[in-house]
Amino acid sequence: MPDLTKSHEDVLADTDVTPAERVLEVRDLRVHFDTPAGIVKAVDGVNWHVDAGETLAIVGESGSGKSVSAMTILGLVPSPPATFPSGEVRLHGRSLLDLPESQQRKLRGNDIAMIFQDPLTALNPVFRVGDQIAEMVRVHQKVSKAAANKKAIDLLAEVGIPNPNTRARQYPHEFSGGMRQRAMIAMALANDPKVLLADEPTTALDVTVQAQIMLLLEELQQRRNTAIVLITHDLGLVASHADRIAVMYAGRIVETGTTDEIFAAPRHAYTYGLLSSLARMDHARPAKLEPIPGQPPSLSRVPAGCAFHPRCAFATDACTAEIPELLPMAPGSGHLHACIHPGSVAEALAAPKEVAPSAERSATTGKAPVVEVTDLVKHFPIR
Amino acid sequence: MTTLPPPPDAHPSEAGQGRTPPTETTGDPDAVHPSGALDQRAVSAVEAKTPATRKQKRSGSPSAMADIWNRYKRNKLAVIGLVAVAVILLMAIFQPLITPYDPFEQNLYNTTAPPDGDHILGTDVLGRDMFSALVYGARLAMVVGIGTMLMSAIVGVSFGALAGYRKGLADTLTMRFTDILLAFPLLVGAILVVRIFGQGVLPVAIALVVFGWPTSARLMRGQTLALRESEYVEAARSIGASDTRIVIRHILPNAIAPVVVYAFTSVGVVIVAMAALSFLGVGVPADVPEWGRLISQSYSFIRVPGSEHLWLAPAIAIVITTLAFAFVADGLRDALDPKLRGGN
Amino acid sequence: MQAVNGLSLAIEPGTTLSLVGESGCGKSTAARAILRLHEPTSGTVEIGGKNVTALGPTALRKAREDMQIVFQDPYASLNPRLTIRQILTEKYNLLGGEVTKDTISDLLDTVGLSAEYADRYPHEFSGGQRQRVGIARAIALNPKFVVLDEPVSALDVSIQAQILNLLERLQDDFGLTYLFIAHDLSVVRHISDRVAVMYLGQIVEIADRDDLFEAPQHPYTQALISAVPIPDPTVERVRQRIVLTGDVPSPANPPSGCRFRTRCWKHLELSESDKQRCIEEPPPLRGTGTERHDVACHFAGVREVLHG
Repeated sequence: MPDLTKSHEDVLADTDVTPAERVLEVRDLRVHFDTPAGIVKAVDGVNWHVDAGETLAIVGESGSGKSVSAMTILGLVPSPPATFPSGEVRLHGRSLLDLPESQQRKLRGNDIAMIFQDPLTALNPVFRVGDQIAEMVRVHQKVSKAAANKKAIDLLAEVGIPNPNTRARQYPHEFSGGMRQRAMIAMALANDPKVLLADEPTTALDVTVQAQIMLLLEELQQRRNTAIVLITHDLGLVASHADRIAVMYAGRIVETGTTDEIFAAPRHAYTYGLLSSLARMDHARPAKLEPIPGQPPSLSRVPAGCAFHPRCAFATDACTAEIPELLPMAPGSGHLHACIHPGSVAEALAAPKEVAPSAERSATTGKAPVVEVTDLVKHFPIR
Repeated sequence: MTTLPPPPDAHPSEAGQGRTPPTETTGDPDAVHPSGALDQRAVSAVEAKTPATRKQKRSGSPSAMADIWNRYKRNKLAVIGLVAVAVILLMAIFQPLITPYDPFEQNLYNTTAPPDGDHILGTDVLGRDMFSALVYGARLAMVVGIGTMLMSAIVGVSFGALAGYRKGLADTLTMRFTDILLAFPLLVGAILVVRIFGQGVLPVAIALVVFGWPTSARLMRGQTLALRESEYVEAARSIGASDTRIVIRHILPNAIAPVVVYAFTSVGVVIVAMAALSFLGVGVPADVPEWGRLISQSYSFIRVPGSEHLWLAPAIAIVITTLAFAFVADGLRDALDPKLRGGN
Repeated sequence: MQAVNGLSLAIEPGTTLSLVGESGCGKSTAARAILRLHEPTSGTVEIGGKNVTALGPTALRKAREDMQIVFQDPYASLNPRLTIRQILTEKYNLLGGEVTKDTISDLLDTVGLSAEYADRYPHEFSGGQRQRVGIARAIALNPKFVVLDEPVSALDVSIQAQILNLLERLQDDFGLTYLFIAHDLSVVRHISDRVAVMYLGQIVEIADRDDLFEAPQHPYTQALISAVPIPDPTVERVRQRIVLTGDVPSPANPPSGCRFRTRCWKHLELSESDKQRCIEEPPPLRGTGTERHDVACHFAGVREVLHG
């Protein structure tokens, strides 16, 4: 039974990491947007932290607010229309949002860097790639042009781009998708940041290229002891690359813990719902998918109490009363969740699963094929 | 350096006017509905739970027209423009009832009289009542302006759709033809046409259509080229729609917005062009009280004090009418645009 | 540019064949060419015994009743100016079905949408709901064959599962035959009976589902499967990842011989003379020891990449 008397602060104090290693910490962050449709609570009281050399995954679907919290850290959220009713961001223990804007900017490019889903948004198409990276360096460090250019070429080599000398003088459109992503990573690393925020860094890439990029990030992390915050909806990626996970729903964190804890023993109904709706490539007899009914709520009309209750199979009246707090599973545990029915979730997890219809079908029916394609060729003239 | 994501949208299904978004449904497990082609069975309740938080408002949705009107209303200038256009139109339609004098009646004993009790706007150089002349001018402007706009739009949209959808030879021919027409300065071309067909309102209108349709055609062609690659066009083909049906049912309604906006702007352009032609003595005969004619006829009196009304009145009429249509066009562009993006 | 370069496949009634591959492999183009939404350059397609590649335009339009497609993008595949009712009724009008007062509501019911919303516009619906409309449009009039072009890729994970279950149920209820285009191998394993892997316009491997995943024989298939992360940390820890070098080459300029050789991990391990064979001789798609399992590789061999 979670100890309900402890506050989140006490929980944090209980865990093993000393604050000095806690590279980036977000406390009680709230980001609200003023829109004609009402106040959109994109981020509604969110706490997370990441330590040197570890990877935190922030998992959520569209409209969960996962990107906004990261963007807030980098000052990329325009205000208005955004307001920040509360929130603290601490970099190495120092409060970021309290500092004057100029100081914030210094810290941001230097110690925190971000890579995005679409490298074309970060790379300016009219400038050479090498020049853009060099500029990144010179904005934050007092070095000569020549030194910055050399650094740019070194960075390109470090991210695995062959012929970096030539490539540095090329324009972004001359790079392939995977290479552009590498170039963006190089740009992010220009000032040796302590934290790298990666917002869906591989969603737009083919899976074989994704594997290359994730491997690169892993190597870089090992070499430089960078903390990585991986923002994604891809639970496979999370399972293979994250140390800890924070699951977000409707602007709040509903569960957090180590990767093993979350996958093996989810305790929030939403986490469980997510995991049950995933198709598994490695299961010979796949279980029937158990989707979460309905759709995610509009952030301007978040349901009362637990935001997930309208879609939850285990919801009771108590779930509508008030927003459940994020509390540890057991005293001192780092596995926190905000569900008042973790028992039902655990039960459902342990129950035997129905088998999917495709598992019971044999691949061949013995009947004559209804579709037969022979030697289909399609050429397009290149103009 | 980096682009921002748009602020988290209100739920996409609330892009309409605050109506309740549609929900999944529980089917009736025992219902069997025979239909022409399929036997039905209910959806499993697990997949189709109705979220408890949504309250049902009225069912049925306002039409697309109502949506457009709601958006249009938000632009104050556009509403003013619409009112002005309505007033001008009404004046034009009811001209015989409004005008105290016959607009053609010349009174050479009372020319260039300033406004007084008998003539609220005075008289012009030929002794016509200025007010009556102006109202008749409005009638002309509306007939020619709107008539030209409609004809240009019909011709332009047809050619543009053909060129954009068929591409190839049809496209090349149409585009080169429009190139030639667009290369002509409008007034020079109009003068040529009038020289060929003689003076009169109809030749002027024809001239303006001939040189006006290419722009609509280009707009339509551009839109068609883009929209023919849309997935819903592909979907229409996949269910067996013919090319004609695709153009009329699927491409046209989605392409028409810029053409409509341009059409309304062009009314102002046509009116000014017609006035310019009359000012140059081309087109409308000298005894017809057309706004441009009125201005040109007052030319020699420009420096004469006390006769400002001679050119000021028709000039203001032209400006107000042109502005009114421009505001309406502006409002239409805003009202039609969000629909174009598909409410994403 | 050779988007599709000689593709042959057969799908038995009531089953699902998945066509998988990465960008530029030509799977979407192939699917559209099969439906003659793009005109094939050459080749034949027979649906229900009828040679659809030989049909003239009018006959083709009528034949569309049995060749339907569900598109990937639920936001782009519905005409924003038409109501749902209009979108669905159009198909009946064009292909000769009868529309009674119950037809549309029944159809919507089948795909899990409330009939009340038939008169609304697409922009009022969420992505998952629009996709249900797209599915309704495709299955109305009970087609023999439905192509599903990445039908769940644009949807949130929790909604994907809803739609996949719907598709499975519809297939069971109405005996539909699916050609499923996808890049997400987890979804493919779940829903397919047979799987064909494409690379640069050609099928490099085709097999029954379990066979392909448990015992793949083409180096590309093996790399592809190994690259897909599995949402289970205990499994991921022991898996071996084959990381390919470079990006997918452009279909406009494919490599000579075997198109995959420039990224192939096995190629690097071959002797010089063997490598020459890959460079000069394009490998044909031919049978392996396993039944119903064909591979296009000179040096095919089983390699387990799922479990580590």
